[in-house]
Amino acid sequence: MSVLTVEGLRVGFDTPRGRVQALEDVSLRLEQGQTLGLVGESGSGKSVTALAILRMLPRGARYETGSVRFEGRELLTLPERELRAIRGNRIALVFQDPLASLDPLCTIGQQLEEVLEVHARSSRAERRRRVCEALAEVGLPAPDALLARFPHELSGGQRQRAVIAMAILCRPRVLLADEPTTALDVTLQAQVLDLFDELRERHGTAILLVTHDLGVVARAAQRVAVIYHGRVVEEATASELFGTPLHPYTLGLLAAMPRLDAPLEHPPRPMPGAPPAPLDTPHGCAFEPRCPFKVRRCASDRPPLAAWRPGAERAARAAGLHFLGGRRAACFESERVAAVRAGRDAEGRP
Amino acid sequence: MARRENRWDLGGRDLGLVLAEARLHGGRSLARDAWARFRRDWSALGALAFLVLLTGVSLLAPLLPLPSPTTMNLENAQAAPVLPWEQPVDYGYSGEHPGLNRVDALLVKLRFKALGSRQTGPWMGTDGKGRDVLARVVWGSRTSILVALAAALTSLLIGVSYGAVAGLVGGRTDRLMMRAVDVLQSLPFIFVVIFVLALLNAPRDELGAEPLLGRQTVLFVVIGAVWWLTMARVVRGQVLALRGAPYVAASRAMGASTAHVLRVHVVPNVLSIVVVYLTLTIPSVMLFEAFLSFLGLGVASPGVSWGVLAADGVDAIHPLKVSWWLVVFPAAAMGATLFALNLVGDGLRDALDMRGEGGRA
Repeated sequence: MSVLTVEGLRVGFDTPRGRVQALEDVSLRLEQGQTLGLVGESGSGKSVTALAILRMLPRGARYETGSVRFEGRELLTLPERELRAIRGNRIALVFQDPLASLDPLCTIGQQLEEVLEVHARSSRAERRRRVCEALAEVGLPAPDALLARFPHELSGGQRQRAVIAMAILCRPRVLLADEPTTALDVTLQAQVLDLFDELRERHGTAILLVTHDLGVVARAAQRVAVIYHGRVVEEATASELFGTPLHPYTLGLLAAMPRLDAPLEHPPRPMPGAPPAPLDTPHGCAFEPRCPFKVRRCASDRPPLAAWRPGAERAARAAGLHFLGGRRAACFESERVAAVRAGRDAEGRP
Repeated sequence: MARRENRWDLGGRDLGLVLAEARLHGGRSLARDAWARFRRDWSALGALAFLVLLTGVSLLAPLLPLPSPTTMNLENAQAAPVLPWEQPVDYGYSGEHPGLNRVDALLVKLRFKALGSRQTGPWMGTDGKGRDVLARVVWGSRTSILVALAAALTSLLIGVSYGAVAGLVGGRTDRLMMRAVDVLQSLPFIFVVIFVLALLNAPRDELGAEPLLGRQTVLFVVIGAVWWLTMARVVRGQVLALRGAPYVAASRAMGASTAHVLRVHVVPNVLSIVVVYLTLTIPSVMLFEAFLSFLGLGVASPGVSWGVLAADGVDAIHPLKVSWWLVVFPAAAMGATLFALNLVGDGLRDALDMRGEGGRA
């Protein structure tokens, strides 16, 4: 069941040099109890997407077209007042830098209670109790001792947990996590991802995990959307995406990922070229200049994000399997891309 | 999973007990850390003590057994200072002291009742009109402190609110507001003071009436007009930076309204910079006042200020009779005060600087 749907979202920023198209066309579906990984390189529009869902983009952002639907309401046109009641309450956002997202002058207790003050009418004792519970839930030992502490007195892992505790205080249905593990070391990363899994399983929270780290996605996400130059270019279940990518960009990302189990003859290959400049809006496929699979029409026509194997859903249902959703890719040459990976797996080389 | 094991449960424990425990553990707020750092800075601490003493003395000036700062005694003009133990007490205080407000007049009367005509000896000598320099230095400090407080208050009230509004609203409003600040800042204020004084004095000359505004009032208005400008800039810059701070965004993402974010997160975080800037503003205001008074544009006789004393000191530059005390004592008082203010400002800046030791864990 879809909790949050983003359809054809198009967002631009007005700058002195003209309109920068941050998002060209982004469609996402967040399912209850499911983690959707949103992957892309810097500047591809990952964070903008997460922020745009809650209309948190800075001044100058223009929500041009598209819709963000949550619980039957359109968030893009919702009055600010009603949106505030949703922020942090029904949809929570976790930022990248845990130290920077805590006010240095407020204690942990004050900051967490602030969320409840904003959203819930409850007594002080009740708020304290809920804050303690949330801190315990994210695995912070002895939360009573933490309440009176200031952010600078906590370790990095404790801070990130406190930030996550803040996000889950009101039991949100959707958790938007913008690079939640980037600032953490690998051990803490694993712990935070475990925590997300637990939230998802226990409370059915839908999670949007924005990251540039394919390893994180492979570990924590059930579905993955790959974003390139403000467009979703491929969407699939994690296993499908890592098994047979359908978009040359995904293929390139996977080839560039260092792997412990890869044979030495196949070192990671960085993708050549760079994404188009933000002010550019190519006519055709934005990946065309870097694409090894390009054909003539790639430069002039834009490949739509089209369903791949439309019969998959019916087939899965017929086989009694839980259908995780169709996979979609925006490429004219998906067949060839898929074949490459299949061939590589069979013969052991590309 | 280890994480599950150390999960903590409120269980059967009494919440009140738990919270009392939490208070016991305590957290060290940044303010407390800052105070601890400030206390270790002995020079700043000493400077603070000096300023407290100075403020106390200047506030209590009417009660102190000082000679009158305005009573002239031409027989005893330009007398050299004597050491306090050589002549600790002198007599001759008359209790006359024109131009005082009601509270000060009452205090002077009180002092006269208690101590009679006793007064301190000429420890700092007397000036060309036989007035006691020590008394003039102490009474002069009142003007300087008053002016400093006025500047602090205007820059706090006008500067902080103006800067905060410009920074928060941003866009065209911000640009317009800051251009206004630029214009004001580029005015040559000496000329403004002269112009205003000339305007105000003109009708008096013709009609023989009192001016609309006294010189001291003009001084205050002008200083108020100048000293909030930089404060507004500082605050605006800080608010701009804070507006983009992740914890401000995080608070908004938690559904907090703009007013709430301002109150809870922006203002407290701007405050430390405001405090530091204020302590560094005050000495320059004192200097500005002294400068204007020295030029004869500030406090007019019979008022006393350190600038007036400096102007008197010029008379001491005399080829026949060297009256060094007319220069040294006022200059030392002013220098010590400015030095102390700068030390406190530096100490505060170091103490409040989160990038220093103990800031980031």
